Amino acid sequence: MQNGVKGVILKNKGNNKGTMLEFTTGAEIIARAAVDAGCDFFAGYPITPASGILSAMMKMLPASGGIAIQGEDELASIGYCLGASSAGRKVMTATSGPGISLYSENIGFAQMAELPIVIVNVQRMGPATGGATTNAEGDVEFVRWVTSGGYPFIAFCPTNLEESYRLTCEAFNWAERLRTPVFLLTCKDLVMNMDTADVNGYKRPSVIARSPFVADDEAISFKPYAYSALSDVPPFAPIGGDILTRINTSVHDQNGMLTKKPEVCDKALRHLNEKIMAHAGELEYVSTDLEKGADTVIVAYGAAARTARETIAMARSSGKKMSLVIVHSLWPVPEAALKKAVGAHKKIIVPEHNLRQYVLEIKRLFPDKEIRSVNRIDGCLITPEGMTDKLCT
Amino acid sequence: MYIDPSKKPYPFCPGCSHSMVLDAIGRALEKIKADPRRTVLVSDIGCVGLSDKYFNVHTFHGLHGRSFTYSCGIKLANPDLLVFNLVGDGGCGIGGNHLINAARRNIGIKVLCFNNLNFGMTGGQHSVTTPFGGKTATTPSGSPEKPFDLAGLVSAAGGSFVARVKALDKEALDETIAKAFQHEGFAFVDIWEICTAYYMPANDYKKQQMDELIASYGFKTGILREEKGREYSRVLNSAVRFQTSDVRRQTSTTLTATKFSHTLQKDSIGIIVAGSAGMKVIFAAHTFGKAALSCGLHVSQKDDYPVTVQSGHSVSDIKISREKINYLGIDKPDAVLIISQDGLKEVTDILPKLDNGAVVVYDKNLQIPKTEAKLIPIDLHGLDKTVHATAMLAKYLTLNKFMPIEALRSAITAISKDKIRELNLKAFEFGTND
Ligand SMILES: Cc1ncc(C[n+]2csc(CCOP(=O)(O)OP(=O)(O)O)c2C)c(N)n1
Ligand code: SF4
Ligand SMILES: [Mg+2]
Repeated sequence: MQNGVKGVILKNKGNNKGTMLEFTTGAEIIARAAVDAGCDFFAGYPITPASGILSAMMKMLPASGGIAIQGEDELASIGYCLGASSAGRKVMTATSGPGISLYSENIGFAQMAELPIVIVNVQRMGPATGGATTNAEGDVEFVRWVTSGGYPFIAFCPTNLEESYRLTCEAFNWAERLRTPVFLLTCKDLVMNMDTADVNGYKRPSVIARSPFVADDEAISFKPYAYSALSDVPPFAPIGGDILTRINTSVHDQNGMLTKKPEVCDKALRHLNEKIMAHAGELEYVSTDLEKGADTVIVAYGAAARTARETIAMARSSGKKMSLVIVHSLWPVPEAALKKAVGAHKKIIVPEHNLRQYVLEIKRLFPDKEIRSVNRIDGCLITPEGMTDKLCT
Repeated sequence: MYIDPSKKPYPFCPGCSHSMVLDAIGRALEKIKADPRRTVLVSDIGCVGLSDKYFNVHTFHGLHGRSFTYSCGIKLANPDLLVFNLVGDGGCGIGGNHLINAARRNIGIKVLCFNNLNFGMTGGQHSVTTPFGGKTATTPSGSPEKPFDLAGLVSAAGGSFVARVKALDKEALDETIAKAFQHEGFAFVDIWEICTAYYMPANDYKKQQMDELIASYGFKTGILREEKGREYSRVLNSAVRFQTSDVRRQTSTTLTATKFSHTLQKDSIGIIVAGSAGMKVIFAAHTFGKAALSCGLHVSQKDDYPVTVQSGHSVSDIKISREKINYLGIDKPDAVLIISQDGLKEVTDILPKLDNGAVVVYDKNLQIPKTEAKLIPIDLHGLDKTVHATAMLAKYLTLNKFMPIEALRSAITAISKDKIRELNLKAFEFGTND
């Protein structure tokens, strides 16, 4: 049941005789999606469970017109990407919690300097080195507040291979369109496990490029950070192109010049917020499976959402009514879509492979509903039965 | 024309060497007639990082110590550009790893180090080049540390152009910077400077003291190293091929056509194969999974092994389902195949939980703890240990014929390496005939 809520709509396709299926990993699918989305520069530093993406890009990119390189560390890997992005490349990097920690300052730089980049975070058990080969989904708040300042980020979160493909492509489109870093937040089990894929059946979203500065006779008046409305995205001119440009990590005016003037700083920083939040409506990626008359709805994301599909099927086959809402765009919070989908349900179950993170957003949105948090942090998945234990009547 | 006179004066303290070096860069660009549109200035953080706005070239101001990585990224993205870094001795310290690696790789960026022996911007703290005994805000009684010889460091890292020059030596400075710009590969110029606000007054460090210090180190000035070698951004870009076809079809993973039919009654089954490193457990599980795929079934596989991959256990969980697989876990396996002691250790907790609907196929030499599952010992004697898992899976298939045995044979026949295929086919025969 799709309820007209905008979002990634994925039908459970039958597996017919004669179709070509692949037995492959999320790493491979993310890499192929990146190439299909026009990625032509990748840099990364090996870390389980994200290394498969680095290897796949190393194999694939040179053959499709791009460059892939292993940096000397994470700081270098994201730095290479941001340099290349400033020169007009479509860039991606992939790592896990320890690497995101090292990316932190550069992620802020990408945000401030308005350099598009797709950052894949393959979550593993944290904090710190945590469990290298152990699954977790504990970086939900981390990617939202990953750098100083507190300005907003976009984060997509797939539950399976098909969504990994689709959302990687979408991540590129949004990064380029809004000139901002975009996260693909996935996890060890979705990236390293082998899974069934009908890749040739995946729909490729149309590819969106960042809007270029078009030189007319006023080319001289090009401003690297030009906007009229605060929500405008500055037209882009690449480093090394015919129009001289400036990239600046410090708070800058529209010419890219460092400034401390309060009124200029105020605008520059509000602009970083506005250009994302003005698109909050379009950025709502939520899929729903709502059942008429159900009291209970599971609101989930990532690996837990994938399991929740089974919980729902089990509940229904035993005559219980239950709905499911899957959040594919964790940040910004898809508030309108969530409100519409949760609607009249009385109870909300929020299963998470962490100690309560996104449930705080759900509580904020639905202060009057009964909200139950289901958590598991031992590296194992919440089981289909575990989602509703003692909660469903 | 490379430096905009209308923007001057520079923001530096009176007498600061930074001003002299910026002027020299302007003259060097002039001398080599650089195309401003193909020239990129990448500045680090520090007083030196205030330089962007005076230059009529592309400018890029990034994080402290990371400027090397941005210039490398730009150069890799577009090898035709002249990309140079303005960085302090502080930046060379915090970003030292990037500096030596750019040198090692011979990425053709030109690094100009404004080496004033301390952190100017943050108030005169010590840096990696502060001389032994040098007084700074963080070494009030004189530095107890030995400094880096940055030029020597970069040389040792393989930098293909390395020079040392004094900021006050105008002619040499102009010429050295121009030469660095014209060098094809990685270039580093260690420019000895005076910070008039901090290091100079705290240490009475002027032109004469600089000369004495350089002499006491036994350092030479001028070009210390100049070597030809392939520039790295060109090497990487020469490997790039532009293909128009859809890369989705150029995958290394083989596509499996659904050509068999299955007779799986349950919604899904879970199989755990538990063995040791070197027993090709993952490979066997993968081949088995492909066989199931060729019968129109959905499959997922989760592998577990220690990070030291050639030691300890190797366990693969295979889930096979008629519908798309949502829950990836296997809480109650239908079959546990145990081929080694390491594997047994990993599944010991699971065995007591199995009921009589499950089977445990195991190497007959293993001591299996109590379980209600049906026990099927097999004698793997004579079979190569790299195909024990295949034999077990084949055996299991003869017990639970949810898919045709031919599907597995077909998946094994598709193994590309002759020797591995032959061994697996032998194990297949063994498992299915036993
Ligand atoms: C990550 C980080 N740490 C610390 C700082 C503060 N900081 C600004 S400039 C600087 C030192 C600059 O010294 P140097 O590179 O020698 O340049 P100079 O000011 O001497 O030209 C430091 C530590 C910073 N900007 N970023
Ligand atoms: S503090 Fe030192 S480095 Fe900075 S401008 Fe003044 S003299 Fe130059
Ligand atoms: Mg300095």
